[in-house]
Amino acid sequence: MKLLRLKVIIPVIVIIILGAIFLQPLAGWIVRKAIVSTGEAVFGAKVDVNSVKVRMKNMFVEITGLEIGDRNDEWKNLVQADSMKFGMRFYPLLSKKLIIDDMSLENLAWGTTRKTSGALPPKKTRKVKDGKEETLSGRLFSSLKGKMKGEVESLPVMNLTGDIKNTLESIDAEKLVAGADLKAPGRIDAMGAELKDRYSKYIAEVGSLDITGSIEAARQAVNEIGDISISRQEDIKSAQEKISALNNQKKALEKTSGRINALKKEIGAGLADTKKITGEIDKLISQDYKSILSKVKLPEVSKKGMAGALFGRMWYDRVNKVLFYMKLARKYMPPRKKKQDKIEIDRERGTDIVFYRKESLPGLLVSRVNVSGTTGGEGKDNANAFSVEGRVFDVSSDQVLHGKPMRIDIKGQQRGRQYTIGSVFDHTGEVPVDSLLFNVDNVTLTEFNPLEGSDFPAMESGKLDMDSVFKLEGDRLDCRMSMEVSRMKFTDTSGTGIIGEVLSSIDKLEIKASLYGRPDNLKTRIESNLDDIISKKLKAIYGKKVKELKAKIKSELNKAIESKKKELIDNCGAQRKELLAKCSTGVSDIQKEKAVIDRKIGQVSASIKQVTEKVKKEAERKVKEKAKDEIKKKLPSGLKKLF
Amino acid sequence: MFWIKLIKKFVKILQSNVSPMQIAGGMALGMMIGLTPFFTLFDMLIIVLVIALNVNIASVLLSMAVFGIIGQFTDPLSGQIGYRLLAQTESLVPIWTALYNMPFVPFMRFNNTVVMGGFAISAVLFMPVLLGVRKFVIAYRAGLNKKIENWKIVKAFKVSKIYDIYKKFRP
Repeated sequence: MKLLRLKVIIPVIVIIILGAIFLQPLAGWIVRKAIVSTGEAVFGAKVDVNSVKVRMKNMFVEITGLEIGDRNDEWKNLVQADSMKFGMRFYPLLSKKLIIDDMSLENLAWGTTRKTSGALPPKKTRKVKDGKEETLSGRLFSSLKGKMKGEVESLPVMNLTGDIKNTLESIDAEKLVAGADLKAPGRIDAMGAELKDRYSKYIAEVGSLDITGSIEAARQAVNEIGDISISRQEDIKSAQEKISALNNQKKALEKTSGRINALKKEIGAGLADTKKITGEIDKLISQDYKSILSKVKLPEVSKKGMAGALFGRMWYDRVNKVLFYMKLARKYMPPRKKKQDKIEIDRERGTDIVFYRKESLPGLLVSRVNVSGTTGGEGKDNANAFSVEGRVFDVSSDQVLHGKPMRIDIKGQQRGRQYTIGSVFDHTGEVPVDSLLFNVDNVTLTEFNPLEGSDFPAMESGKLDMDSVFKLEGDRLDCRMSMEVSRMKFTDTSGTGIIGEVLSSIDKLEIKASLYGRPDNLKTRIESNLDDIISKKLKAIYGKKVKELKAKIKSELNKAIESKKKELIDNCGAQRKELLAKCSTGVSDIQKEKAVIDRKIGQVSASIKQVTEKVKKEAERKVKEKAKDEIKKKLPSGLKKLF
Repeated sequence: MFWIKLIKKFVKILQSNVSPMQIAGGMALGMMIGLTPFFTLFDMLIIVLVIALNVNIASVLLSMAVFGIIGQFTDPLSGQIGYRLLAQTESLVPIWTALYNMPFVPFMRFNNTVVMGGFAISAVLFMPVLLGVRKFVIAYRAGLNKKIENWKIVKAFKVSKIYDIYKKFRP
């Protein structure tokens, strides 16, 4: 048996040689496949290439129509370039090392619309291998997601305003009052019953005073003394007796009057006047009103959390996006310690072990990438177009071998306004440090909307100044953003409620956000000048609406109690008036009768005095006459003639 | 149907005049390709060997298919063996480092644990498979074929519907 198929060897060798000769036409296909498969693996979205030209002579590659889809939006491109050109070093390719000294990306654009979907077909997700820890990026992403859920989604301001409105509108004051366990009506009924008892008691007491009887007795006594004539001294005694009887009647009348006055006071206290009753009823209504309010849940609006609710989702989305690129950088430029001679990279099947040798080339190195692009072009708004120019340095799969960090330095211009992107992915040290600076200076908002993703109405125009820095040092995240948007015009604020109202009324929107810490302890802080304004506005609207609601509740409460209150007050007033009138009439009659008695006593006393005077004078005359006679008798006859 | 065709072809080869060593060589080389998960430079070299050496192509194809399926199940074992060889055997690291940084060798993807494990298993099994298959072919031709045809499983297979469908639709 022959060991070798000699007949076949020579044809195979010829085929191999021909294959090598005709490799160039195939090379384009091979490079296209490599770019598409690598790009899709890295970016998680479709990668489309229009054409690939390879010149084997100098290993030069020209790719046109490169589109990399956005994994978050299947109808948008993450980035596209009209042309990508680079030359590869030949010898490292034999060692599976791609070394590119210079690459150019022309007409770079981002966020462009795709004609076809950029979503990849469903793939099996890679399972995390047993015994290997969850990646840093995974922990960061899940921590961010948790913060989103906990801090941002729990208080969406647009929904908050709707919630306030709905909550207030859902409160039916009438039903609330009808269903409430009111104390006032029962208490008013009790008060009515009490008043009725007291009235009965006072009526009985007034009756027991027998004012009429007392006055009749006094009149009778007066009448009796009216017929008396006092002409002699013998009449005086009976007259004095009558006076004494009259005085007794007078005292009785005074006693009755005193009792009436005391009763009047009691009535005055016992049957309170309408003012006092009204005051008491109002107190009861107030207690019921407070009780109803304590059972009604009115939404709280606090300044704390307002900025988080307004801008939180946008901020977390931004951090998420940046983290995604940092994750890619750490995955494809894995950090390692200098002493480490190998590194393990998990693949779909098995693990690739990469063996490092000092002073050798890394698996991938692109020394410099020249980037240029514009948002302008045919059929576009060239007057307001952004132009982009910059460089990316030292893109390397092993920075420790290469010795230099990857740097991105891109500047953008729009009508003289500038923005800069500066980034350093430094995995050369013990602790990897990835940072991204993004500064925007007085840029028009037509092409770039930093507030996309927040609960804001769509912007027609505005000016933007933004400074942001995102830094991942080891596993410690430190992200900060300061944004100022001025001269804002919105396309349509209707339907955005209070947010639209406030935004239309302010000159400037200022936002400051930060996110820092380790994955298990991320802290966030978001502040905005809108906090105070919106919370005041909400409180004003909310306060006004609540005031209206409270007034409505009070009105319903008053309506429910009004009839009972009126009845009680009317009854009480009438009864009090009646009793007091009776007492006053009684007192008045007694006073009149007393006056009559006094007059009578005066008259009789005057008559007695008159008679007494007369008797006295008579007696004096008699004494004088007698004395005269005595003297006459004792006087000599000669003097008698004098008398 | 492909499998039945392949097995039928293999039985035909067993019953033909192809030398047992050619068949065994084909099986052993096919096993090497089947046990490695990716199509690498190593597989291309094996194919060149298959073309250059006077081995039976049908047995190569059958062996590739069979060991390709077996490889799916032995991947975890291959991965462990490969990991032990590549990452845990420090004395071999300088060799791997040198190979990794050489021209062409990295295209063999020997630094993948499943590939290295597959290499190792196929290297260990090469001689046993080679000699075993050779012995089997010789024994088959000596009289084992009649015994196998009398096996219940073979008889059952021949009366099965699958075999009937195959007989109806075979070219």
